[in-house]
Amino acid sequence: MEFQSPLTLKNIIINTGNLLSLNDITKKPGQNTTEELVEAVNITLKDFRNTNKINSIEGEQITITRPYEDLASRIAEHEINDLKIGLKVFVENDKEDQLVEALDKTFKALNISSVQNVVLSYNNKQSEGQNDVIEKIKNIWKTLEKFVQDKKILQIGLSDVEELVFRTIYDWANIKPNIIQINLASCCVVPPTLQAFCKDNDVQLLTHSDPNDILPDESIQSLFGAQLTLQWVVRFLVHIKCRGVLKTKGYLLSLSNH
Amino acid sequence: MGLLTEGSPLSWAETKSQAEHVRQHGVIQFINLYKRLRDRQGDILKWGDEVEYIIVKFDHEKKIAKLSLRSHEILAILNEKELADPQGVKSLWRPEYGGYMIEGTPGKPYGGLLAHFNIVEANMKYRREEVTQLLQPGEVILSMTNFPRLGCEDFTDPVTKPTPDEGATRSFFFPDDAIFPHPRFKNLSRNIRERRGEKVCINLPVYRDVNTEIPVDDSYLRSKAAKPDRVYLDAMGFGMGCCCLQLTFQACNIREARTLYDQLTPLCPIMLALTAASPIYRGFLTDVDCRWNIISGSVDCRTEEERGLKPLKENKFVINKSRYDSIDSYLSESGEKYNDVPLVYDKAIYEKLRANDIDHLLAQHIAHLFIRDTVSLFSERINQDDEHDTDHFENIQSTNWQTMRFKPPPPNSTIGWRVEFRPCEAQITDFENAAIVCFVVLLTRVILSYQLNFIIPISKVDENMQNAQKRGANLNQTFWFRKDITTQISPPEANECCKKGYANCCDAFEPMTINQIINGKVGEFPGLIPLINNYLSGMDVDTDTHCTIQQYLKFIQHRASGEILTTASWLRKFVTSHPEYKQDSKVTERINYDLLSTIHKIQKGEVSCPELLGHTTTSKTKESIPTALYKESLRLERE
Repeated sequence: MEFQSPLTLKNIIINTGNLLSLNDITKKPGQNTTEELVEAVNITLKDFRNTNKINSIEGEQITITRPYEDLASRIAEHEINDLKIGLKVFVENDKEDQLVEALDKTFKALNISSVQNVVLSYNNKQSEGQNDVIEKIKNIWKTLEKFVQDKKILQIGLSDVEELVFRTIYDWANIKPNIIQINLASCCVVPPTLQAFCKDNDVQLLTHSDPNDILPDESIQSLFGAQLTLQWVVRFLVHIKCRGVLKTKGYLLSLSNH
Repeated sequence: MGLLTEGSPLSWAETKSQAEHVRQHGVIQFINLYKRLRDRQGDILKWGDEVEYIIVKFDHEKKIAKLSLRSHEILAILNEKELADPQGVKSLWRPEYGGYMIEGTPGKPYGGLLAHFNIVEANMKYRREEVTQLLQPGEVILSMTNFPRLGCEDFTDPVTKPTPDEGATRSFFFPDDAIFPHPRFKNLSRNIRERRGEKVCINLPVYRDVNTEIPVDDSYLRSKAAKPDRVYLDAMGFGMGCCCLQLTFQACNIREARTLYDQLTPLCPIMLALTAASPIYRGFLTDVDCRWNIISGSVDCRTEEERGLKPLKENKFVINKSRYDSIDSYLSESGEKYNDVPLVYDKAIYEKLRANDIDHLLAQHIAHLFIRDTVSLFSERINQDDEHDTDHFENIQSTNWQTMRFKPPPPNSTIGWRVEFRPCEAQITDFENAAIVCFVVLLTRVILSYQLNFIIPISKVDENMQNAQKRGANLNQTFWFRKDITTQISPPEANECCKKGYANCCDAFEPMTINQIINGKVGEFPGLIPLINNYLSGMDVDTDTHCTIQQYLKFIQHRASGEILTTASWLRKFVTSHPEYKQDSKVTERINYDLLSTIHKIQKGEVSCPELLGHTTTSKTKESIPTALYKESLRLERE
């Protein structure tokens, strides 16, 4: 890994662009989320190295993108009202500035001003107790609520939380979660109480297959040859409404080098 | 098939004299509708399935199963229900060729949410139950592709007799009275026979077991057309009396419809082999697993001249296929260079379509459909308003029974451009039928999302169609399939290769097994199910729907890998391991009775059959989609 120059910078933002236009990714449909993300970052780094875009450095931050990327143009093929744009934000802490940065950078990359839904995945890396987790999620939730109030997000949801945590947040929140995502990779069993709660409160009970720790330290080490710190990952999914067609899919992530 | 025209059918002589009239006006009607609707945009995904059923009557004392000719009585009740509440009914029922058949579709099409996949099976169950309530003691409905003893002596209830010397069919085996009583069906049978100049003729290879006798029966003594070592069939009913599983979906515009028409074409033989369900004809085990060629032969109205047996004198074209067969040309730009079989089409009609600003590919498709004469015409419908009616166009279009159908929007409706997928055979259970239709519709979404390309030369699709029907094809045959189905950024050498045409691009497609196509080939081919799963990971799917779809996909994976049997292989196994079977390829009354009783019990869930269905066959199918998702879909449609 001779990717030296950016490592002297404080912060690296990587935008994989539209993965649906990468044949190498399409040809490996069996990859899990982490494998797919690692491969997408690898391709992005390789493509970026081959072009040496210096103007992507702003202060102590570098933004790494692929040249000839069709993300914005694929979205622009449609009226924005015909699209349903959803984000999933993976964070490991409750720092407001990082979440704001994650959302702002994503809006900018997609060239949009609002999205339909944002689902939060909080990676409890320190194995905190349930009450601590609830407090952290509450802090993050307040930031998300501001985005909803500013009409930048229509619906917000939570991923991979215990039923009790979900209910606690639901009861506490000003803007209630509309979505709960649970991991059903291996079985079809949803607690009946959670099912009933979702039904009674019009909460969408959805599935996902993402690991909680989407980019483990070992993956970061092997990608960059250095132990950078993951700040956030956003996955964006753009669908054409009512047609079941996925238009673009990709990731933005931020790593810091201290 | 829609509700049937009431009225008086014309004789073949009269129909023949109007053939050119229907053709000319049909083309004008297409031109007019095309001008009106070519730019129609923005239609959402809507789709629906069609399942055909046979009504079987058991005599449990005598251990006999027959076909009950009561579908007209049952349909009358069902159609009355529909007429009373056309918007409210949950199912629609239509007649089919056999007087023992009935076709059911959902009352309203399914929509563009993933959650809709979870209500398909529930609707199929509802339909089956709805008909079951109208049955008499001993009667059941089965979604079975072919009744094993169709055409054997006294196979109907009440008993009917074939009339070889008179009537519409003149079959040695299939009575006119077994045809559905609407005049359209007998009329079609007679017109096809008269147009052809002789009875239709199908000679199926018998499955040769140790005690199989050759000649198989005395058919060859009765007809020159019958071959002694074959199972001879001589009626439209042997084909059109079979049940199919079909689905239709709406595209967002004409361009997407043409793309999906082409992209699904190479999948027709694959899905035919995977759903193979009809190895038994007229009481004999045969060496074919599917109905396709039988239906094709059963409506083959081509004259000897058209079949190339005599020089052309009366007719205009030598035509290489029956009007029921695999499609003959691709419709999208990316398919154009794979149209490698010279297309027979009417040059004058083609020129007329071109002069009206219809592009080459669509013009030759329509001009190809219109090489056929009408084979069913009603006196009340001869003179039409070509600006608004489309009956003459539909007359020819709907009697070109091909693997795929490209369907223009009907007049005065909110329906858009549609594509129909027609190769699949009906499976025994609702679980299987739902799994197959959901798989195909999901695949269309994957094709559009990843912009995949499955197109291979049309000649190779034809070759695959023939291989797909052989005994055990699902496991034992290989099929031409595209090696690289991605389209996004081609390396320069591939582009060079494609410029020269596929013929020089020898690595563009290769033989693959159904297992490799469905499940993938490590390092070489991604597999259709892994692609669907990858697509699903990028979609919002509710938990019940997720669970149901996973069961459907696992079931299809197991069929493809051979872990479980195709319906055809299971039927063979049941027959050959029956105590009364004498290793003579014959399916006796008693074997037939036991087979159909067992099928009924499997379908009802009274008997488990893991070798056919796998271990989990209970999905989480629901009657309606979750409220939260329904509300969201309304909001999305409004925005």
